[in-house]
Amino acid sequence: MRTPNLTLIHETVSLCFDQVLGTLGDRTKRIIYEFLSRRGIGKEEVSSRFEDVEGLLVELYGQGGRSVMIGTLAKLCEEYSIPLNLSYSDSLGNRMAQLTENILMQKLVPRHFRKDVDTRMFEDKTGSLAGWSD
Amino acid sequence: MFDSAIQTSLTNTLRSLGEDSLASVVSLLGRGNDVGNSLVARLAEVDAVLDELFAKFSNIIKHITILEACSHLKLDPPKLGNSLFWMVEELRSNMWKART
Repeated sequence: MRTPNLTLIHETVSLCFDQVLGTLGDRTKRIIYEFLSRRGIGKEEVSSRFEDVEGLLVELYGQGGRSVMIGTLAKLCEEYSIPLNLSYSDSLGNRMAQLTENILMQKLVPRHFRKDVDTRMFEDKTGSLAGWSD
Repeated sequence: MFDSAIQTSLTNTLRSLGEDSLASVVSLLGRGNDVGNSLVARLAEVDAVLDELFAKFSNIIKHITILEACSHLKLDPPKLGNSLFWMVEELRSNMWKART
């Protein structure tokens, strides 16, 4: 069974992956999700099957495909305010595992989640909508 | 220090894509294997070369470069756009503002 924090990491990775795919345009994003789905990988499994996703995207797009996975790691590091430092590992999958371990050990919380919690707390306390929320 | 952070981030990002990526960019820039600080000095050309080599994926590569540089420089990233040159200029400006 996953700990809540690990679930949050998986969700954050999926969110980051989705944001990076968004850079490629909605059509390409849909095509990639469909391609992954045909190969048995759901949207929520990007984190747990990181190396499989990397392999499939490289198969589909060559080195460009790898940039999607590096971009996902870069966004993940931005969310948790930790350095990317790809040279610390020999593969993206290993770096993903190292980052996950660091996040769990340091009990870090992603930026988007902190903002959600702040917003909910403010709204519960004041009974009014937070000015910074949508 | 700023230029060096951008240079390092860009070369690291390209190397992490695959052995030949950095060499291909340098080759298209027409400077042989002399990488030195030439990439930062020719960012507008690097922009065009990345677009030519990686098409749609070039924006992701530019964003990774900026995010990694921001992490080194301990700066908040600028709005991520399509031009490496302008994102670097915005980051440079942010750094000056943070210093003053």
